[in-house]
Amino acid sequence: MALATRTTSRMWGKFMKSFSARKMAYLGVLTAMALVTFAIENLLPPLFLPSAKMGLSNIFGLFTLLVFGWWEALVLVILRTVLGCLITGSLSTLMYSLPAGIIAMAVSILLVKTFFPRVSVVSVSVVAAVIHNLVQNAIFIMVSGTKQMIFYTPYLAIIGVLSGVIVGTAVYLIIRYAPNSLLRAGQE
Amino acid sequence: MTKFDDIKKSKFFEKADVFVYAFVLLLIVVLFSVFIWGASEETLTGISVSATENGNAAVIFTYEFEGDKITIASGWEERIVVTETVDELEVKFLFGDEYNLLTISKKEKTAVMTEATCSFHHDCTKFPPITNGSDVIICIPHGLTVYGVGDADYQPNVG
Repeated sequence: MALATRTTSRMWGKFMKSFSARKMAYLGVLTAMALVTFAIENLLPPLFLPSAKMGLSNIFGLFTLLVFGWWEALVLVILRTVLGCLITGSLSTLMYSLPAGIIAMAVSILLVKTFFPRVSVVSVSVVAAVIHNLVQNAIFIMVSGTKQMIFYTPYLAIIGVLSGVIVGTAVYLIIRYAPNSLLRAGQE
Repeated sequence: MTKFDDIKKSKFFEKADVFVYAFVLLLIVVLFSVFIWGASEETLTGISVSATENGNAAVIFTYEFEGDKITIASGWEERIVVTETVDELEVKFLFGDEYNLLTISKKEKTAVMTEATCSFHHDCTKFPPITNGSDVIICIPHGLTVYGVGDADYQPNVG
């Protein structure tokens, strides 16, 4: 018991040390930017299908994953989804947005850890966006009990490709043109 | 975290992307083959509407094209207003001050949510019209689901 407590406390200390004030400030700004993008995008009409969105706030999730790390990116996705749903008042969507966001981020982490830079940021983004839409629809079908929504799955996959290309391109351009000091912030 | 040089030197397209995109393309083709091209189209014979209140879902309205038959569940007579013309049926579902307006075309055998006062974007009005037995329109804020009833759902009365 004492050993477990000591190990947990050591791990927590190590984890807290990895967050410098500067890094925390960067992550706070990135989370705020993701939230604002999420809220603005929520005001725009859906794309082709009901509730379908570009998911532009994922730009900040993918950027955080590449520059800061997997743990920071996961926290950002959870915060952005929970707070975003609270701000926009769409709490009912939280039950399928949150698991979809976490699973899509887990796939991105796996791809980045295993294959990056042999695969591009854009392709990672495309796979994550497709997975996000498929998982979201699958959970929606289970929660609402409307198996007919399964017919939307292929179309949602196509929308995922579109949004993945847009998000991935944005992250690629940010990485290319952002000041080196910003990109080095995660290396501290 | 990813190494700084790996991030900065990453390209828009890498050779290995071909495999990733091929996998995504294959996935989309499989999804279309299974759910769209492989799905049998059921001729629309009617419309069924269910509502979820206090966690319980129940069918509250049905319409059969053959015989022009309308059924409203007991307890919902005051909350479902039906306006009928020769070619169309307008069904208004009342939820306090809010409502959903479903328009059923008898001539074209379709149903579409034409008006709603639910979410900000009125997502249910963006659903494509119900034209066959496997189509659906969902209004999450009001807990309303409109189903197309197909010929496969038809249960003849025996006896």
